[in-house]
Amino acid sequence: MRVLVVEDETRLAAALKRGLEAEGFATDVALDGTDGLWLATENDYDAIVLDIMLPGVNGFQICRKLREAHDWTPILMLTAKDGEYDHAEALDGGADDYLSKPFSYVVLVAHLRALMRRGKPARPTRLEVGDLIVDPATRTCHRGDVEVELTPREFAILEYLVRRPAQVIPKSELLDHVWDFGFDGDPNVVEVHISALRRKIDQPFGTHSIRTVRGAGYRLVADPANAGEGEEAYGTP
Amino acid sequence: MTTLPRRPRWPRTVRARTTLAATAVVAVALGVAFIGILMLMSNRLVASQRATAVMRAQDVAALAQSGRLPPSLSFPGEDTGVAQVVDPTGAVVASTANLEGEAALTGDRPEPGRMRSRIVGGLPIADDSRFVLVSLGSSTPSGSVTVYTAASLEETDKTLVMLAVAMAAGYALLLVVVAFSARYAVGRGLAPVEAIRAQVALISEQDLHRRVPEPGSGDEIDRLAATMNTMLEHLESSSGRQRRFVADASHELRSPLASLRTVLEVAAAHPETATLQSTVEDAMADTDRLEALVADLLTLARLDDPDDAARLRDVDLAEICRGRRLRDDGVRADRPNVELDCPPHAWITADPLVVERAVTNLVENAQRHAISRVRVLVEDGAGHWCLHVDDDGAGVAPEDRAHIFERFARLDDARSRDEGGTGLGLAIVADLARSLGGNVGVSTSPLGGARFTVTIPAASAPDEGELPG
Repeated sequence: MRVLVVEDETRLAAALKRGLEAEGFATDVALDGTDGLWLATENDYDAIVLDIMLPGVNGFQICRKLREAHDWTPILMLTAKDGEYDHAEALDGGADDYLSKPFSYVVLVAHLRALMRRGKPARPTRLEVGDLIVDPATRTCHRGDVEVELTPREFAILEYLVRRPAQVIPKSELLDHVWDFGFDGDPNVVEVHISALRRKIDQPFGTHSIRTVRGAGYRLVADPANAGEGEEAYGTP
Repeated sequence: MTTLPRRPRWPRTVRARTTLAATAVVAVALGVAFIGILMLMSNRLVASQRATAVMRAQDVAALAQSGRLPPSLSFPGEDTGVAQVVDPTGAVVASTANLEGEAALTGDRPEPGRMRSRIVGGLPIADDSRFVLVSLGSSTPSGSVTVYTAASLEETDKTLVMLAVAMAAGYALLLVVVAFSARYAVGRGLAPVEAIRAQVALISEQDLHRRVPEPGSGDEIDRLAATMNTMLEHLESSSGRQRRFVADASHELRSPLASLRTVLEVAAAHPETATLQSTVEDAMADTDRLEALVADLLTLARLDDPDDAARLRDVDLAEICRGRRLRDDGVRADRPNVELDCPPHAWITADPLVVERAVTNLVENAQRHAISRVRVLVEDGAGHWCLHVDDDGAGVAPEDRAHIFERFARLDDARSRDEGGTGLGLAIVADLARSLGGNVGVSTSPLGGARFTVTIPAASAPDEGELPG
């Protein structure tokens, strides 16, 4: 397992390298942001330990650049700055985990191991299907450059579909995951919201991304021109 | 103020007090005026009636003098006239018909030619209305007599009562109008004050970005609101600076702590990865960093402390510089020695610990940047002392000269903190100078590098026999 440590405190970085190598990780160290970013893009790591306050490029920027390049290496961010906003910004920026300084070395190693167990599936912060872009962190939706205003419920349904692109999602599954268990109303409320979604994200643009699969459910596709078998652009399953 | 107090209680609001004061003043002034008017009217009316009675008395006296006094007196044109003539014994000699059979009206017997008048509460003809009674002494061919005449004050009294009632009604109405007008006007005037107060209450509980409403009326309240908003601006930016400083300080403290902790934990978890010697050296280096930072933070706290005045005493700047240099000589071979040029004494009033710290910071800063020479110079500057610390290093670029005195300012992001310096050294120097009413600045030194100058107001030398603090 290969780990990259990007940290500008020389003694801290050296100690981490010694410790991680003793644990069996092959460890590279970068003492500033520029070197860190270069190493991260050049090599394939199983995890990156990334400090936020770095000379050159800072930790937030490195993380964002990697994610924009679709690099899904697990990232553990370290910082000594105070404030819950740094914490939130780090995670929303694409990091997978966060430790405040001073941290326990033993805890750091455990977090790294947990990160590596998760593997490297694509975990983008902004979800894209075709030119439809859904950002759960800011709760915005765009088709191309145009922002689309959605109600919270519509956004929740769209997010659920976007996370499972091209899969058929039954109405009951949408009901289970977007409404809480206290909901007692008409299951047709799902249809109502799907219609509303279509009116907002498809109709004005002439696209057909939300497909109805008769008898099965709904699915979200990227290519509006291709209809699958048993699909309709509109209608109820 | 809608409930009536059971015991009289002094009203507390400005509005109530102003209304009460205005109403009281008007009440007193008008009251005095009205009473004056009533008294004046009363005098006039009574005088008028008295004049009538006097004229009648004189007429009757003239008759008596000429000896043609009829036993029954009458006044032409009216039957309410009252007159009586009595002889010196008190026997009635003549009277008007309405006094027939009555005894002398009074015991007054003025000398002939002299007159007295009185107001009496009643006379036999009407004992519940007032009369003005005139007594006139007169002489007749057969001896002296006294003529009594009276004029009724009934009409006068009626008039006065009507006047008093009308005035009282008007007075009461006027007071009510004054009270309400005052209350309304003051209320209107003070309404912006309540708006300001409400806004300020919100500000102190929540956040400092709010501002109080400015009524734009150009009056005292408007100016108050404008001043308050300026103050809030200052508070907000000061609070922002404070927050940034705390964030920076916590970062600077946590970094060496994290380093220290990791070095020790790794050494404990994997003893084979480092020798005891290297671990101890690493730990000492970070401990030194922490120590320096804590010392600087405490110094800044001392400077910020309003009780600081108690720590001020006579300090000899020259002595501190000399002491600093002695400590430095031969300590570190890789650092340039400090050249010193200062007078025997340079007295200032300051906290000695902070001054030592500031001088140390300046000298260490110079040593870090110098190539080979560092010079400390204390100059006399007409009422203050100028402390110059020169080096022959790279100097400070003009655009950076304002920023380097800020807390945790770092001109070069890439410069590792390991190289030394807590980021607070120059900030301490600046705070010290400002707290003493002096100045800091950086310019180019004669040695070719930077010259840091601190100007501090001079103090007079302490008395002989007193040990310097």
